[in-house]
Formats: sequence, structure tokens, C-alpha cells
Amino acid sequence: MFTRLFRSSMILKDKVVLVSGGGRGTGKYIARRMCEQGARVAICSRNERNLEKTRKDFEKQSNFEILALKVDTTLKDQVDDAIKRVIEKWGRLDVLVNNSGTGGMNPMTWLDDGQWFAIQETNIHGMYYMTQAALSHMNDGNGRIINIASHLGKTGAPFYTAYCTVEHAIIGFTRALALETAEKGVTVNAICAGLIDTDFAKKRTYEMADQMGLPQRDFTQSVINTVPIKRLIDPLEVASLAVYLASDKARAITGQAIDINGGLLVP
Amino acid sequence: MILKDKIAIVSGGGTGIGLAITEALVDAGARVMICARNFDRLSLAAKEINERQGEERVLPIKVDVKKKEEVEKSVEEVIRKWGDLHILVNNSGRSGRIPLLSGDSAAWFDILETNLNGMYFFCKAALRVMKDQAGGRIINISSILGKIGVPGYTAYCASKHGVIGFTSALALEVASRGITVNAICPGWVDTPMAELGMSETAKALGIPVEDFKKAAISRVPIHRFVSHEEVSGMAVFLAGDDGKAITGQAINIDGGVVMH
Repeated sequence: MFTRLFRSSMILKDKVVLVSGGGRGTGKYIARRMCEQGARVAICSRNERNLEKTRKDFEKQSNFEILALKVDTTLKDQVDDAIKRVIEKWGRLDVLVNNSGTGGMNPMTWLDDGQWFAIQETNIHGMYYMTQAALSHMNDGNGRIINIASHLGKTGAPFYTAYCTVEHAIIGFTRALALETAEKGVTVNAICAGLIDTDFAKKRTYEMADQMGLPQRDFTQSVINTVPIKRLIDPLEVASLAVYLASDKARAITGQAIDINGGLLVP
Repeated sequence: MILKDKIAIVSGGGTGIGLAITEALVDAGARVMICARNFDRLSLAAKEINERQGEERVLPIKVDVKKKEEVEKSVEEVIRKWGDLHILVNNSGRSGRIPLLSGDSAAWFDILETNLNGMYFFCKAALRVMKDQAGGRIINISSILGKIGVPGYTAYCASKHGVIGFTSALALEVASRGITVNAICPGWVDTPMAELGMSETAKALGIPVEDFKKAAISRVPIHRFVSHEEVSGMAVFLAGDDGKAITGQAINIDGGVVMH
């Protein structure tokens, strides 16, 4: 009884959410926040170790309903299978968070093209397959697609042509799909996160420091100094915005790329 | 109660979107001073909310936002009464169709003055009393006409574009104080102001207002107007702790009409 009363105040009660890249970093925080708001949450990742660790963490919370799926989102068959398993377990899918992504430098002077293609595959193809498979189950006029992009979806950074290309592309995809699914009652939005306090971002920053031949710590501090609020973004802040966009309050927000960047990039 | 014990100001809080934001802030735990020129409507709205809440949560003050002294006095009154100020929602605004050549210059300038100077005076007065690193929030209600133009509305479009420029600059100016500054850009919301816009435009086009309304809705990708709660929900989100890393932004709530 108590649980039911408690759950009724939750803004995502009875929703089924799928978060790609949910095994760690921002995706894990998004999954956690969604669970806290009463959603049943499937997380997928291609990294089995992260997935297991997160599943175990979440299972300590008796009120979390969680499903962990090992999926490589760049492979259509695996994506289709994952969506099928979500539907088998919970009978519906309301919210898809496309958070899987990879990054890293790819200076044009590099001879190897691997990074260019790898980044595109994970960030674009993965989103495409996931969205395509999920959309066919969003038929009750209240679906949500939330794509996690970056401030580099709106501006450039040296040595990051691949990453900037795909993050801009996510926003283009978001805008076009929003119009395509508006009448179906599915909103499509992107969250453009600035410099987030995750291992992923830390690695990027260290990589840049090395490229420039600067000490990693000094460079990290100088990066933080460029953020007007003088700190990194807490992944929980990104997660809260995702929860808001997933909720019924956000039904009229679609086709947007909302910035959460501490003032790093303003219109 | 994500805004428990927070003190807010909502200009133009007695009607339309401003009233919806006031109600949402109160529901989230805040105390709110609302101001406008029409005191009767303002005090009626305050009375209704206070009766519903069973305590005085809304304070109505008669203010013409174009008058600096009146704005300053109203902020002083908030400090005298509640001792602090955390959230300022600049929502007062005027619209109107004023074709540039045949139009009324006084009305044109009045729109600019109300929508820009009102915001300016309130921000200035509020920033003097908002404490540093104490969750200060400024939320300016712009419009999707802050990002695109429509015929006959040069004044309104200029002012709403201006609100966004002001928002992005001020956000950077006060970021170090832990104060965020954002704009919300609603599309068509069922308000007296939208009603006026539709009837004016329909008249200019020589078509029945109902036909204009239908055509307007058909151009919204989600095929309906935005509700008051959909705008006020975002205001509460930005005002809350979860919104503290969002600053300098102009967020559209318009059913997919504008995407930049």
C-alpha cells in the first residue's frame, strides 16, 4: 500500500524506458533517475562487465524494475532482438533514450580512417536502428525519443571533425524525425550536454592535453575555467532533464536540441 | 516540494501564462509576488490561490513595469515581507499587430518599452538583492517570435528577439554568482494575448477568426495549442535545483514549429 502511494507521485509511473549505453556514465544516471520516477527501465550496452555491475547496483534498490541487455547498437539484428525482449517483458515501450556513443580525436593528419567510421557507426547507425525498432511500438500517442547529443552538435572543436559531424547529425535527425512523428504523438528531442563530469569526458580532456603537450590536470582546470559556471555538468543534471522530457509535462516540446552546458555555449 | 521556502516574483502574474507559472511555483512550495497594472484582476487571482492554499502564498502588487521606481519599490516590498528573493520570472508583456507604414508609433514603442525595459528594470532590481551562490534564477518569457518573424508584428518580434539577446548576455554576466538566466519561448498558447493576435490577423486577412485558428493549428506539427501547464512546468524545472547548469538558453515549447 505504501509503495503504491509512493509510486503514484512519480512522474514516470508505469512507463517503460530503454536507455542505450546505460551501463555507465550519463546513461547509467539517466536509467537511475528514470527508475526513481517509477519507470521500468531496460539498459543496454555492449560492455557486459559494465552492464552486470549496473544491474547489480540497481537491484539493491527493491523498487527498481530493471532489465539489462547486452546489445551492440550498431548491429540491427541485436537491436531488434533487444526491443523484442523489452516488449516480451513489459508489453510496451514508451521512452527511448539514445545515449550510446563514442568519441575521441581524429586529426585530419592521421592516416587511419578507423576512428572516423567507428564514431559514425556508434553514434549515428546505432541511433537509427534503435529508433526505427522502438518507433513501431510507440502507438498510444505519447511516445518519447530522447537523443543525447553534445554542445559539439552546435559548434566545432579542433581535431574533433568526426565527433562534431555526428553530433550535428543527431540534431538534424532529431528535427526531421520530430516532424515525421508529430502526428503519431511521439516527441523527439536532443539534449546537448556540455562538459560532463564522467570518465568518458575526462578521457577526452586528457587526450586533448596530451595532443597539446600540456599537463592533464592543468589542462582540465583550464577547460573548467572556460565554463561560465566554473564547474563541470553533473550527469544527474542531464538525467533530470531527460526525465522531464520523458514526462507528460513535455508533450509540447519536440524537435528541440536543449543545451545544458553551464553557459559554455549560448545563442 | 522542489521550491520549498523559495521566494519568487512573476510580473504579469495575474493572467494567462503568468498566472499558470504563479500557480505552478506555489504548488512547488514557493511564495510569489505577482504584479501588473490591473490590480483588481491581480488581487482576485492572489485571493483565489491563497484561499486554496490556506495561507498567504501570493502577494499582489500594482506595478507598471515601465516605471523604474514602481519596479524597485515592489522588489523592496518583497524583501521587507519575505526577506529574500530567489526567482524572477519576467512575464509581463504586450503584443499587437502594427504594420510599419500604417501603424501607430506610440503603440510600437510601448511594446518595446513594456517587453524590454520592464525586464531590464526588474533584473536590475532583483540582481541587487539576490544572494550569490543561493540558487538565483531569472526566467524571461520570450516567444517563438523571438526566433522567427511574422508579418505585422515587427514590434513584438523585435522585442522578443531582444529578450533572447539580453538573456544570453546576462547569463554570462552573472554566471559567477550562481544565478542562471534563461528564456522560455512558447508557441501558440491559449491565452488572451494569443486570442488578440488571432483576431487581429484574421481581420487583416479578411477571414473568420475560427478559420485562422484552424489554419494556425494545422501548421503546428502536434496539431494543437500548447497548454499553460506545459509552459509553467518548464519554468518550475528551470527554477529548481535540477536546472542549475542550464543558463543562457532560450527553450522552445511550441509543438515543433521552430527548432533553433
